[in-house]
Amino acid sequence: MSEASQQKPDQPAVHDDHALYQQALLAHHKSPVGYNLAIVATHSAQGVNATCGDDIKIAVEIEQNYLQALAFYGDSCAICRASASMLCQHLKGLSVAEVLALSQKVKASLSENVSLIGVAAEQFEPLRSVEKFPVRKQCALLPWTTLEQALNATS
Amino acid sequence: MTSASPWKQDFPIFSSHAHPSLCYLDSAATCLTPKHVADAVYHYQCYSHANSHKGLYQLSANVTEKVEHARETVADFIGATSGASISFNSGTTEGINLIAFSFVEPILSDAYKKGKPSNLVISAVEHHANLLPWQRLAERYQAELRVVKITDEGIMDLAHLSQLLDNNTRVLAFSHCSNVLGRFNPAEQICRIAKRHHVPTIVDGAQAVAHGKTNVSAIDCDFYVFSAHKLYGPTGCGVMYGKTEHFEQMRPYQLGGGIVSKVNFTESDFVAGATKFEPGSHHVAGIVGLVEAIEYLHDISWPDIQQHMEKLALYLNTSLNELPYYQPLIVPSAKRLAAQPTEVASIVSFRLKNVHCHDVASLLDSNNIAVRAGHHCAQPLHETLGVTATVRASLGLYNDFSDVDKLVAGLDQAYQLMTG
Repeated sequence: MSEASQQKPDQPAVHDDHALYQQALLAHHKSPVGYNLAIVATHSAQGVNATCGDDIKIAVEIEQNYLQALAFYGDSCAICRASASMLCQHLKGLSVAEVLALSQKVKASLSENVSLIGVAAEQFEPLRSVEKFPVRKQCALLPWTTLEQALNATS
Repeated sequence: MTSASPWKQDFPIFSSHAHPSLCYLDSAATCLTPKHVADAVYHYQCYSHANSHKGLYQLSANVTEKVEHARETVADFIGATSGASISFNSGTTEGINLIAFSFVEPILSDAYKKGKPSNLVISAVEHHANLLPWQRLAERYQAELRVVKITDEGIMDLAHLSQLLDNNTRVLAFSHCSNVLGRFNPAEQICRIAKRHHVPTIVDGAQAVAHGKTNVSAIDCDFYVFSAHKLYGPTGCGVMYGKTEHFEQMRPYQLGGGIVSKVNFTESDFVAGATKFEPGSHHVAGIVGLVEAIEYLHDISWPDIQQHMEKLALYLNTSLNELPYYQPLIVPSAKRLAAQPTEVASIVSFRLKNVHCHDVASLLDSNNIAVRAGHHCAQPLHETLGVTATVRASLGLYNDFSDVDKLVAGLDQAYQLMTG
């Protein structure tokens, strides 16, 4: 299965009218990274958005304090799914401490519009479209808060 | 009759300086406000406002008269024989909580003290407002909360209801019309069954009152509750109808001014009748708005409203059914539609194949189409039907065929974008 990172960048711009659903975000939704991936999970957590019904499980495989593999499962909207996909794509190989620090930054960028800088800004750029849609921020945040639960449950 | 809404112009929200292209399909959440209602509230607040039931001066007496007259208007609207059976509150949620506290809890408590088992009966479609108060009472008094199944058509399974009711059933609480499925329960028949078991009945009429003549006398329920804002009136105003013979034994829900005949530092005597449940100052502006909404509907007439709404609901259901990716929560049987073609729901909840309902709602919003997405405060019903969330489209007086066309086009666009 092709993954989001392998999507062609020059697809027709049919989504211009829908600011929330940008190409890059839709690419993650349609070909998510880590979705239903079978990993040897050492830690996991379930996250639910009671108001909208997003229900997601984040699983990670940690070896010697580094995230060797990430996966997510469940039923969620495209925003939540894309956010989880980006998380799975970009956190592999980082240490638990690095992930927790990055998670704080991503959460701040989503909930308080604090700009990301450096590599993270590029990696999570598609999530920025949520900025103008306050009611959907919770969807993008859910994978991150769930990931933190998974990691905190272990430490 | 044309397919256009003859009443859309009555709603200022569609005026050119407000939201002329709004396609509002969320009337089950709240109805938009006709100018008549907004004007009535404005005029009351500007030119007639005073505290009702308290002042001895003429301005206050006029307001008191307004409120008491409103009871008669509301009673007439729902087929009650007297305004004495009408009590005003903040809405359906408060109405149900009030009845749970004032009427049902003392019965449960009494049975509990005597060591008698109790059960409470609700249906599977209930809004959380008609579930949580009963859940809490059941827990508090170790009573069983029994849930009546629904049929494939989305109404209460009457055979199952008969099985669940027994001598220990303290109350049956059910919605007249589901806020998710839009189907009307046969309230008269249900209350008849309950009566055979001597079980008092509470009907949540929030979704029913705007869709046809309600007749609580014919239904013969013990209580009927609804909100003004689902009837083109203001928010924050609701009605509890109750058989007056119950009022005497009921304790006040909240305590405060205006509901006592005598108070000293050790005890209080409460007034009799409906005002016992109306402590503090009345929400007169809300009550005035409710009366105006009732008069607005009366001026249009139920036959005209129903003719328009039924035609529109049929068009909505037919148009949606033609979409290959449309997945309704309840599929009306061809047999029923043939037998009762006018019984098409004006509330429909559905999913689009492989598209999450929140994405559908967001994409519709980008086309100025307002729908609800989620579990619509009926999570257990969604679980029962095996889904977590749905999109809900619900119709109001201002809708017409063009709104349905916009919805269908919007759904098509959303489906193509998310799956194409």
